[in-house]
Amino acid sequence: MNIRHSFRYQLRDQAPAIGVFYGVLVGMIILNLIFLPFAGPNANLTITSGGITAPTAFFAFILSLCAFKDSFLMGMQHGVSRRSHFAARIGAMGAVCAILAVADEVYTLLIALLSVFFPKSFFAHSLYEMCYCSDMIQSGRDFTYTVNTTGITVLLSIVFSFFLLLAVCAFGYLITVLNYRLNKTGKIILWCGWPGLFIAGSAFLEANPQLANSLVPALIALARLTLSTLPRLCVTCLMLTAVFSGLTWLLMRRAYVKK
Amino acid sequence: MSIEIRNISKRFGEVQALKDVSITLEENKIYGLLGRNGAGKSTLLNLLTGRIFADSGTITLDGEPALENDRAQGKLFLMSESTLHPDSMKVRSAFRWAGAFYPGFDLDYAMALAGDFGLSTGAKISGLSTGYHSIFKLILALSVNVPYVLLDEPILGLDANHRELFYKRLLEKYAEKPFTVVLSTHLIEEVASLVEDVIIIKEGRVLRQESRDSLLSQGYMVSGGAAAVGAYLQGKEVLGVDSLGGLRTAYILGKPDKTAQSAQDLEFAPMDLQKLFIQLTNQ
Repeated sequence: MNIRHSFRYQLRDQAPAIGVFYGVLVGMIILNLIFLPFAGPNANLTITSGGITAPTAFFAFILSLCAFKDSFLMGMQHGVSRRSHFAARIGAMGAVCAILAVADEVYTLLIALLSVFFPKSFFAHSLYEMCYCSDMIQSGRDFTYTVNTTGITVLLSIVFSFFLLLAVCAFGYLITVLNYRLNKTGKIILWCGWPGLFIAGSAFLEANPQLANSLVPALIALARLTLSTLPRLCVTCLMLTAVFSGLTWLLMRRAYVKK
Repeated sequence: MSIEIRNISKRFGEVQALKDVSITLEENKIYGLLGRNGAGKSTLLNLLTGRIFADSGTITLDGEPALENDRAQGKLFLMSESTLHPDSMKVRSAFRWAGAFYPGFDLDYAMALAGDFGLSTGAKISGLSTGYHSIFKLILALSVNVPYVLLDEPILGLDANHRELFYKRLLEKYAEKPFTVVLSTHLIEEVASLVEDVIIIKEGRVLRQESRDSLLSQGYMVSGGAAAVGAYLQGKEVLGVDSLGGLRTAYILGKPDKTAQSAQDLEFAPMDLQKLFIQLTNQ
């Protein structure tokens, strides 16, 4: 029972932010349509949506960073166990990702529809289409990209976005729970440590080019293995979601209430 | 039907907040949870509701483990000093969500109480003054209709009128349908007439848990001239003595011996809960 109410609360908690995000995107289209009649022949009034899921992934990450503390405390105030809260979070995360994936595709289709009437001002393809359904043709020094959109790519775009966003949300939530659990010193070590480690790692690779030369191909091979097709991407994202969520639960199961 | 707390210990770094605490909270009773600052009252209430974890010991509620158990926690409601609601939430919205999580929550009653106390339900919780913040918490606690209500410093910042109204509504609610209330407060005199049982915690240990009447019947106060009181105290178990000029008031365990020669010119009075608390926790 509490899982259902906690799920509802967590979903409602994120709804306004999602509304604002898509409100801004749709607002940009409306503004463009308003200014279109006043634009001169040489005006550059174009809305391109080449893979809206990429900015949505950033948005979903930020959304997840803000999803823990308030709803966790609210749950604790109302007798929701950590286990129920976590289960509700998994459900809410899935629901939010599904909503975002569908909304992204609707937005892409909306712009694609407008491009029929205003071909110079609107242009859109989903991230899935750009990554997996595009061909690059080279003629001389110019490159031409052609993207194949069909009915099935529309559906697969939603699947692609859903799994991608799921992994991103799970990662964001893990970070925010980790941040909640850490004390002040731990937070300083973590948030100063990562950039420090990155700089030190870059310097180390710079000093050891043979290592960099073998690492880059390994990373490319890993990316091919895990992301080269949609099923592989889905499995990879699902596995990442499972790992991130597992770690989140380990952190959350003994989380104290901290106001 | 009760909350059984057995051998609970809790340490925060160097501070031993609770040491081997065992308490039973029976159904349909009003408890006064008393202790000095830092005695461990809030820690105990937070442990009961799973907001923090004990280092050792067990807590059962109506026979089942109380922690990480939605069914057990659904019978409990803790209103701590700081609410755990989001800052941006409005009072009305908090009432609605309480209704979603607690099926017994009486929204109409909560709205009526808000009217009685003059609490604006359209206000943001974070924007409430200390007094109205307490009122908001009290309304939730009185409307939630669960078997066990735990109130940590419920009357913080309330003026005398609102305190009086709260006590009145609490007793009305209790008379209508009894439930267990744990009142953790420093205003002992005010709650002395409300509570049936008293739990006194000192430095993380339970000093006393018994009925108020039984506790108060164990001692008495005697006052009079310093010399007369001094003579009377010979051979008696004295909890403490207050002196004001030539007058002395002594707090004594046992039955008053009014027939004794030394009792002449002395005034006897029943033990006062606040005085007894002060004497017990000062020792």
